[in-house]
Amino acid sequence: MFRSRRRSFVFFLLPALLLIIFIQFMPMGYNLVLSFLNIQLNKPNLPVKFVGLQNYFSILSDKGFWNSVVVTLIIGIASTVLELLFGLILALLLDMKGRFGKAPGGMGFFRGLLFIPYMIMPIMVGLTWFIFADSNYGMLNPILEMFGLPTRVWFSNEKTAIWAIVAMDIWQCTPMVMMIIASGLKTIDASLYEAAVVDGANSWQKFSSITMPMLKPVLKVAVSMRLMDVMRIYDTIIATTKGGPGNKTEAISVFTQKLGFEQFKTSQGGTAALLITILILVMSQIVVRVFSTKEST
Amino acid sequence: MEKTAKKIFYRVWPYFILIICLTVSFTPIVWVVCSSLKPAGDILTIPPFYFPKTITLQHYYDLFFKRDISPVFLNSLTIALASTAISIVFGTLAAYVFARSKRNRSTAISAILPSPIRTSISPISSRLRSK
Repeated sequence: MFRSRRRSFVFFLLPALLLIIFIQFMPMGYNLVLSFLNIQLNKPNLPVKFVGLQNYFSILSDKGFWNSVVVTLIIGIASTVLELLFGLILALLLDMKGRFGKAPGGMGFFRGLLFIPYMIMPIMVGLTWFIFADSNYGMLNPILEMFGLPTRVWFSNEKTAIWAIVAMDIWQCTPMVMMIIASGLKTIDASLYEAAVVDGANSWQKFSSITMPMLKPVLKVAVSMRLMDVMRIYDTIIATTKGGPGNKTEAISVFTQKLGFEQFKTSQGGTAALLITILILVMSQIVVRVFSTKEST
Repeated sequence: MEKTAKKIFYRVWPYFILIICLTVSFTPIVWVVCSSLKPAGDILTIPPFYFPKTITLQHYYDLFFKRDISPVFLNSLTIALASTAISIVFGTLAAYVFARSKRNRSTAISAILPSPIRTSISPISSRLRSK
């Protein structure tokens, strides 16, 4: 009995493992090999040599690399935190129960409509916002003017460019966070709230001692997914600022792409890609740790 | 009288916030749709305007009949269906193992799978475990 169960486990696991080995670990292994060589695509006659850790040293001493790490962390943390906040508020609104336990009508309608931005492809979001926020042809500045808000050349101003990208990411991905949190809210047992009402809890107490603790696993999923996604941000930046002005919005993905495919330093690009992978792994592990210590289980 | 006003307020304020959010998220999208209905000369103007003055379907006609975009849709569909099917099937199988087996070895395997498949594994396996 036990034996056949174990064999079926192996059988279940095998396809996923094989797939991952072929499409994930083999390219990564090739990348690792690449990072110790001196391959440059624009110098095909260069003798291929083993250069040890030289690529790593040159990347780690590159100011552009550290700048891109900082940019990525700013975009990643700012947009994850804000998306979580807005997503939580929206999910709570959509899940709201009225005075008599009856939900206000039409919430499914709102949920469906609010989810639409997330379904647009990122490159299209970038292009849309690039033209929408254009200082000559775009509608954004006239609309802001209508409400008396400041107008800028959003994507070309070195102070606002990075926040424009954060705003774009929030605009697109808050619905996704909202959906994850809303599905988490659905799983909370209503009898907990009834018990709390019997004990005389007010809405803040209900929120802080029932909703938040019960949401923690879902929040963990949301934060780690969002953070990993935002760390890989590429399409929206390429469609709008291309890393500019200067290198103010050059995230690590853009930096690596430029290094590998515009300056044709293939080996160095591979090295940078490996370092990014390590960075994202570390970040996601931090997120997992932070959320699981508070879970107490 | 004051009580009914309060009641109406409690009813209405969530919708109010939701409508503001909807407006923010839909302003660019609707603008794109409006631009697609404008004649070519009206799309990029200084100063810009939001709603089309004259409506034309010329761009849609050009897109669908003058240049053939069906292979593009077919490509996207193929990629989407194939990758969804593969990652759901394989991911579910693997997630089942991670959720049901009590050995530590499987957690070790699940830790070294930082992959697109894993993003579907981790929610599914936590879902199965909580049951």
